[in-house]
Amino acid sequence: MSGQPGSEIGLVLNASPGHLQGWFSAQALVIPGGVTAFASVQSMQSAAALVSAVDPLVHRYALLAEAMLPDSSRASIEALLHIELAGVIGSAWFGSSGSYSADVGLGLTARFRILISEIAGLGSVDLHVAAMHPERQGIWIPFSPTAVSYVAVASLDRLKTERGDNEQLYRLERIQSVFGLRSGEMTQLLDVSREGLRKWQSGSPMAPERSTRIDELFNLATWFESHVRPDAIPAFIRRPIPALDGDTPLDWLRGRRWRELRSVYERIFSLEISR
Amino acid sequence: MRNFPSATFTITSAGQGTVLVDGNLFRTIPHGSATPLSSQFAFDFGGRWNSPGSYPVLYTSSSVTGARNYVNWQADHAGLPLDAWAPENQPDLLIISVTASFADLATDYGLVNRGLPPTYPVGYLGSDSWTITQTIAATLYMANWPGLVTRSATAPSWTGPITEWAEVAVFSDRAGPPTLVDRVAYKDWYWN
Repeated sequence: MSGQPGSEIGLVLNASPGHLQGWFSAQALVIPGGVTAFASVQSMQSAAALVSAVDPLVHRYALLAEAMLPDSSRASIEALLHIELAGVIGSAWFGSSGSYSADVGLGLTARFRILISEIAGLGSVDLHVAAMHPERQGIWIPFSPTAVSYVAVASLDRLKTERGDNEQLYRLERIQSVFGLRSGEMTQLLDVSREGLRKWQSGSPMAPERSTRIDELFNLATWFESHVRPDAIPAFIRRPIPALDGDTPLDWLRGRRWRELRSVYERIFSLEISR
Repeated sequence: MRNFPSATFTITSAGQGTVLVDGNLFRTIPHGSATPLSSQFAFDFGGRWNSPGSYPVLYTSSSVTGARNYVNWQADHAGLPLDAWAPENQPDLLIISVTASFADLATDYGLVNRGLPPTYPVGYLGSDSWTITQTIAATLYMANWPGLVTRSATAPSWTGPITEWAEVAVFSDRAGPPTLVDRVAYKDWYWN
């Protein structure tokens, strides 16, 4: 993040619309073309472009919220601002300043100030926050409910994609960490090339069927983690096990016998197995 | 841990094939279990003396040593020493009190009387043999026996006092509810 959080916090919470517009521009926080395209033609495609255009601002605000309010969750603020975006587009902010991109930035800033005031109030954090209201300088474009819904859908879709990618990355890391797997073992379990795995780990999207496989393996990893001392798991999965007919748990993981493996250990941990 | 004496096992005179059990039996359950006396799991999945879904059985040991042998076998079978199990899964010791006359599948006479060799359980380890043992137990259940006394498959030998190597399969709905005497956490019973 460029700029000092302290000085940016003061600006975001209290600066005038004119100062904020300069900041948006200098930091490239709102990409003008994407917003203007939506003002011209309202479609799912242009709504997606609009959402992409303000994404840098949404993430910057989430970072600042985390710096201001230690108890707040960056992910929660990101989610709330994505949801607020459609409200800004449908409100009197759009067309208020003479620049559509500035309108969206200012409208989001106004919503952000309200959110921060509410959260700070709950936590008794002393923050000075100036309220913002749209000024009638441009032409207000009252979008149709359908156009607003395009933005709502595009925002949620963006949020889902972002969260999904982060979530999958987290799950990949947890699987590897819990089982103590080497990269080669991960590629075997997930049936992916080393290059494919590397791409996933750097945030590239994955096909839904791969995602399902990761979900299943993640669930198994967390199940074992809650039933076995975590530091014992990596050695355990490489050990021949009588209950697995002398196979190792890793053999069963490779053979996609994930449900069977869990079922065997559910019975063992129930202490109900007869010899 | 407080001392919990084992039940007395009185083998009736030859020809009757019953064992009177009076006193404490021992059972291990996961520390996180909220239903220590439930035999639902055994009912659902079956075991050596009951087929899945047939009737509920509470599997118990005749001594603390027997319970310890059982969980040690479980740990070996799982490839996971008990200390590697999550605390919620580590075995609590349950002490229950029972007074009833059970079918004898512990003595040479009792085993032969029910169709098993006097060398049992040698040759009968593993679930492959359960169809035989389950059939015998089902007959006893149908005849309203409250359960059976037998040789624990996890005992190192079957000589000496019966309390050192026996286990009792209690048919829960025939024997009536057992009395819960105590429940002792893993760290307090296993190492003592």
